[in-house]
Amino acid sequence: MMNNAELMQKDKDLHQLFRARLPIASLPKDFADRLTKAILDEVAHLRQSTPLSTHWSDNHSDNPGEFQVSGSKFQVPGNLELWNLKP
Amino acid sequence: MVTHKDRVSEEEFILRLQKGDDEAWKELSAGEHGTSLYNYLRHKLPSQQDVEDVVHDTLLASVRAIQNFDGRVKLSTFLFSLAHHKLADFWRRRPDTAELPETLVGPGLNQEGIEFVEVLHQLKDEHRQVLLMRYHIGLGVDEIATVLGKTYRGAESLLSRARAELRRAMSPDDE
Repeated sequence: MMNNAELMQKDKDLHQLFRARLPIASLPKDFADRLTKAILDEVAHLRQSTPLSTHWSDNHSDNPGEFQVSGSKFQVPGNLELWNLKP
Repeated sequence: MVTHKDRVSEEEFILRLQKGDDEAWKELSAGEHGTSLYNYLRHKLPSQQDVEDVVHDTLLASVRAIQNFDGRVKLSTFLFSLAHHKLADFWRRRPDTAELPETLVGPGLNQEGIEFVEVLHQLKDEHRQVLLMRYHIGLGVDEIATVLGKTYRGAESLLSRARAELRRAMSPDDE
């Protein structure tokens, strides 16, 4: 059984291994441009169709972890109780 | 370690997104969050086009979903949870493939990197997934637990098994 210090060292070593072998790639420029344009178009569309929130606390769901996407309810998976995410 | 300053700064950033601030959305899509999603999904999908489609669909969905985001999980947890839903949609439409994603076997990776990716792809899917989230993208154990629908201890235990499988795969002679 490893102690905390050993576990932290192992974590650090693995972060280093992944960084060395698997460098983080940048978004390809043309994709980043297309993506940003699509997102800004959607934001503009939403801004026109509905007033955007002034603060999340004015507009949150009664069910923590729940979001709405295109009218469909969406729940972040997970044990919300454990994370103290239930009221 | 997440500091108070980090938390306040993330809350402010989320507020800007919810208000429809163009600069914030540009930062989200082409900055650290978009890049993290892209890098993670490169290991989960067979082609560059598929990766771009799922990143696009995830962030587009986030524009609406952020309006109801209550800020009780981190923004990265929220985005990776959305991405996992989009991934599930993708694989429902497409048959599974065991091939190494073409996006990973291109320029940008040296021979050591390619060999490492090959080792990762010998691992169980759930082990590869959790190692990538933790050590490639840098999600916390609590975030991984939420994204995968596990308890904290469940995620820790999965990570521990994944590390052991990686160690065996990298040093088969030690067996």
